[in-house]
Amino acid sequence: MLTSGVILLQANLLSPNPGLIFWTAVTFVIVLLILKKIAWGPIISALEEREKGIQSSIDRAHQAKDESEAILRKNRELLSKADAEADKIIREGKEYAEKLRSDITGKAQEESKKMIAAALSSIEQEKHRALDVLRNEVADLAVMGAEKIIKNALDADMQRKIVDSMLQDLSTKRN
Amino acid sequence: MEGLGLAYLGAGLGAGLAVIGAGLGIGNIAASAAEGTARQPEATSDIRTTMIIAAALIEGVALFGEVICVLLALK
Amino acid sequence: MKRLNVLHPKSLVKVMAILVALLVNTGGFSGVAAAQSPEASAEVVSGTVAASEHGAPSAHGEEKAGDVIMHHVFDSNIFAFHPFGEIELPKIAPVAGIDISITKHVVMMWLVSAILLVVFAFVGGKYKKMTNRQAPKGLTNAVEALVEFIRLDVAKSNIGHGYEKHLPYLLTVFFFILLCNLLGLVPYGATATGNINVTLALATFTFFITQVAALKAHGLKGFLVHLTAGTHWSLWIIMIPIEVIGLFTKPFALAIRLFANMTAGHIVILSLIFISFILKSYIVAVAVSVPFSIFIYLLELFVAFLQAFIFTMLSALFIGLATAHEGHDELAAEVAHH
Repeated sequence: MLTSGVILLQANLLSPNPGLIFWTAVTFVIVLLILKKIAWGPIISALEEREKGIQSSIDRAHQAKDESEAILRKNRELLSKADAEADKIIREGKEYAEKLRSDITGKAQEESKKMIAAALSSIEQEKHRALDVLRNEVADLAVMGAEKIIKNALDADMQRKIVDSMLQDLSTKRN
Repeated sequence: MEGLGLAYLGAGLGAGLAVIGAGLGIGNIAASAAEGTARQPEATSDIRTTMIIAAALIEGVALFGEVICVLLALK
Repeated sequence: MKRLNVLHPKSLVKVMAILVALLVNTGGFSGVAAAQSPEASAEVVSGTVAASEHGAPSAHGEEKAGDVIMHHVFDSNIFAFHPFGEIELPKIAPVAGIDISITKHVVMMWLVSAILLVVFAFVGGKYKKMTNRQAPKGLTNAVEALVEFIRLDVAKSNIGHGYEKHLPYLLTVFFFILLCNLLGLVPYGATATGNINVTLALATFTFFITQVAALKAHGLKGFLVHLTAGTHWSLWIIMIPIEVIGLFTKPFALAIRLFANMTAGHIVILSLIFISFILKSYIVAVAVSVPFSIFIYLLELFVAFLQAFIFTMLSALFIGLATAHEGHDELAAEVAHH
């Protein structure tokens, strides 16, 4: 680098060159002004706008989250309330159904008892009526038998025997 | 010619000494920064910024030394 | 197994023979001249190489590697496209004693400005058309990542309240320096930020913006009180010069840092390449120059971003320190030390 030292001396590595300083300043200022107008303005405003947009989006998202959480909580409450309501309704329905069932069965039993009693009484009546009819029939038959006996032979003993046997027959038949 | 030779010698030695100083200083900074980053990884970016600034300042001093050496070599 | 054992040393010998032949061959290229006086041959070699690299016949004597490197780094009136010729830039008559002729670095700055204007006109147009719900794509997205980085991590975190006012300057300075740095790495390009005048001009902008911001934030009285660093009046005679020097050191360090970083990287890359020319060896070229210069080149890509970031970051920091209302005294003092 010995040689380069000499060259440094000739070409002035560190010596000021006002022309170059002037040109640097002019170029830089012009670039700065133009870029400020065409680039930095739009870019920075866009970036700031986006920053604000993102911030507001985040804020909105937080708000929405809070809101949805509140709604969820409310929904849960409503749901639990509805559950309790439904339970109550079901329980009441069951109780009512039970009551209704017992009522209906009780009534039906009563009814059937009544019907059985009515049936029994009507059977009794029928029996009495049948007995009456039978009695009349027997009396008629007795009269007819008597007539035959009287017609055939008016033997006292014979008559008695006939009547007795008839009565015997009747009584056995009746029973 | 002897005087010029001595000037060159001085310039070379001075440049070397400036580099030694700057190397030690920046090495210390880097070591401390690495240690700090290891201790507190969450402060990495802050430590890096501080490290670069400090290193640049030390480097600036070293460069002053180098410039003086160059001037010496030019005489 | 045995056959292999026999063959193995044989093939090794073959490879060695080829390598030795290559070494002897390439070394022998200048070996004849080197045999008599190594120093002279090195000079001849580098001279011819430099001349061939330079394209033009060396009319003004032999050029050394150092000349070529410095020629590459320095500003000049000639924009060279070796071996396709060169463009002589027009000279403008001095105005008020200042030579304002257009140089290589001025042209590079104009190129950078043109690229910046085209790219950001495109991106800005996209943003004007874009609604809030659309996402940026492609180039717009890449630019947005950088803009957002400067806006939040550099401006907002260092300046704090009222950072919007300084944002256009910080963004412009970042992209301007970044593109200057990157264009310096393109073949035939020149690094405008590798020139102390350019960086000094940029740092001067930071200086003025910082001082104006400090004046606006604290008023003239606050500004003057700040110069005393809040010490007793008997210490003022020491404190005021220190603080005033501190005011100027900060932007000066900014300028020197950027200039030195960009220049040093280029000198290192070129020196590595010239090692192979000076030693005149393909082996050195393949084994040392190319891999190392590629490595440094990639490092330079990183440094291009880093230096643009640091310049912007420190500008923001200085503005932040100047406008801060509390606890800035010790920080300012710390910065003033450097």
